[in-house]
Amino acid sequence: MVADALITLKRLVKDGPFIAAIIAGPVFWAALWLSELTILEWGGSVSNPSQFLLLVLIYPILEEIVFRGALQGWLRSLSWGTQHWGKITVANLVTSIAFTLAHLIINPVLLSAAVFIPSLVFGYFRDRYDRLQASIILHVFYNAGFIWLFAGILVA
Amino acid sequence: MNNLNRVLIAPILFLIAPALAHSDDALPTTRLLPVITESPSGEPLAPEERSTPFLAHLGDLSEFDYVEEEYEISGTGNIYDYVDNAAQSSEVAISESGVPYVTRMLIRRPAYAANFNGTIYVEILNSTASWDDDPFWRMSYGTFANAGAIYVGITSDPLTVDFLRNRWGAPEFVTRNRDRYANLTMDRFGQVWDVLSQAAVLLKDDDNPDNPLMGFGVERIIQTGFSQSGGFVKTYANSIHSRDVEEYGFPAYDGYFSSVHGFSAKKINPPPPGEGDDFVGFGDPRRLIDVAAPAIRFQAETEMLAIFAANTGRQVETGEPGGPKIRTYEMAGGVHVDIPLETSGLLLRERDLGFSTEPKECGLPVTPIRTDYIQSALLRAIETWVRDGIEPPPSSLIEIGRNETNNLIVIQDVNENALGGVRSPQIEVPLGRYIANPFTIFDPCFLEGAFIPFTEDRFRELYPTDSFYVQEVDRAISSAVADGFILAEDAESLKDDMLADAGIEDNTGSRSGCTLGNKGNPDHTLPLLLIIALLYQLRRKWLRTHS
Repeated sequence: MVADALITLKRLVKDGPFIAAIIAGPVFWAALWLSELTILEWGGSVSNPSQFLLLVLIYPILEEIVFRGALQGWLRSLSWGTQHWGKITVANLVTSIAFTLAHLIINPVLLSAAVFIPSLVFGYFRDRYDRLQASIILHVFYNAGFIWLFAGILVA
Repeated sequence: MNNLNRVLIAPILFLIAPALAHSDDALPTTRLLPVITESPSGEPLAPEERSTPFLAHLGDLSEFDYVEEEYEISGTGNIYDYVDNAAQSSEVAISESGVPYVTRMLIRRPAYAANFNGTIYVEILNSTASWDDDPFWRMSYGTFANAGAIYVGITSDPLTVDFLRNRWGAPEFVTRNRDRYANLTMDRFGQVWDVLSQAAVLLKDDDNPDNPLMGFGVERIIQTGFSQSGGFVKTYANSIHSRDVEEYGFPAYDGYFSSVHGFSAKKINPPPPGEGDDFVGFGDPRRLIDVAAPAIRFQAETEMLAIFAANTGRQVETGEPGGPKIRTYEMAGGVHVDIPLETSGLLLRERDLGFSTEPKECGLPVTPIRTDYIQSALLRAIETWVRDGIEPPPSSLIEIGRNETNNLIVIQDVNENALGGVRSPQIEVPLGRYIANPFTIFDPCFLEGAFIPFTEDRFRELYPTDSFYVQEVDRAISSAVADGFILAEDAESLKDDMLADAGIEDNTGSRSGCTLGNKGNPDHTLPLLLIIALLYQLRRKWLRTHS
């Protein structure tokens, strides 16, 4: 399993789409800041390290296992699951809708809607590699950047 | 007496000697004062027959599963005098003993002992108006109830004892049964210290049938005083706390909270009204708290200068080993009487005294700054300090300087609001200029403060959009909660107040106490995600081993 992960990582660092997805993160954050939908409050979130780790590491990994692993994996096994529009499969689209709706339970509408596009990106890489490593790495990276830049003081 | 008798009598004398020596410190007795509003047959009573507590809680305590009881408390105590007043020493000695008193305790407690968290807040009921007032309760009863703490208000001044016994219930106020407080007596103010000691020791005596809280398991008592009563707290802490430890073997009070009390401290045995100063003066070190127990001094900006002159008696925690455990908090923009305290006071005075509820005429709008939120957080902080040894949050003091005419002023920011001090979210996200220092004591609203709102242009300069204002509010409240100056349970309420003050509706769906990007309360979804992830992984493993 570790060897498998390393092989995937070696492929990822040479993979154009993956590098583009990594770069898209900071571009998205800059757009968020310029839109004034949120405010820059960087660094404060690490004052609550356990909460920070929960949101940056634990949640992304679990969400990828549940959504991209379990749900998207099951949807792909269905006859229509692998039908696609461009690079986006039906399985990915449905999973991303479910992912967005799940965020609505405990997040504001705007923030929940904002996770839809990243979810499609995670789902794309899950389909591309048939593994979760890429989507986990991206999810961790996106959460870490967003929360470190914008989440300010985290409150338990 | 033969030798055998001496041998038998000696140990007996040894055992009873402490009781004899401290006979003046025997614990008081109590008697429940029932609430009577109906006849035995259920008919409503005429006003002069109704017997209800003066200062009964305004609302319905059952929403917290709390009850209110009033007790008459009777005992004898000492009156003290300073050993060396010329040297301005806090040390006191008994000047008179066996002085009887009968006063009252208002107890607000959980209906069931199982819901009690072990903490009592005793409020020295404020006597400034010549009748009792309970500002701590009215400002923070939600805070007490949410924690399961007990509140006890004690009538602590001959002035207010006299009012209850001789004046309340008379036709010029609100007609009530005049017998309720007929037994109350407290001739001299100097009796108050033993009243407070004995009441607290009684409340801690879990096996005493005179203890209204027998069986509750009281673990700690925090003494509180608001405004003038805050000056009583200082004197008690300095002069009586150590005597309690010596006489009872434990402190009657485990912590002290003195609120909006300005510079002064009550004298240990003040002269009767009109016959001299009853507070120690400027420069007297007894204005500062020096006690081997956690103590918080909380000042609103109103107290800092002018007649209250809190700036002349500031105490900064040095952190030196063995030094007094003091925390001083000065709330920027804070006022002596905020709007909720004023409003509830009007309702109380209407119900219990028959006064009008018309608010005072103030030349400017009254400040919307809420002192209660900060005070409530600090009340919780001192409980944590006493119980768990966790020190309250650090804070700076309000910045004070001198103007061009060498007069003391509060240093202000570009919005003409105070710099430094405890920063309420309301002053961090201001809507205008908050004037907390009294213009003059002759101004009818000098305790309530004033407010000059921003112009529309200035408001939009600071907050280009309504959603940006909401976001700033969320950020400021989250920060204050994290710093310990706003309780998490008060975050939503404070946000509602701030938005209402700005005339803005919150359409962002953001939650105060959390920031945009926080998953609100992640704990609700975490177990579900864990279970699903685990099941998925187990299924994969099963498929691999069986394929």
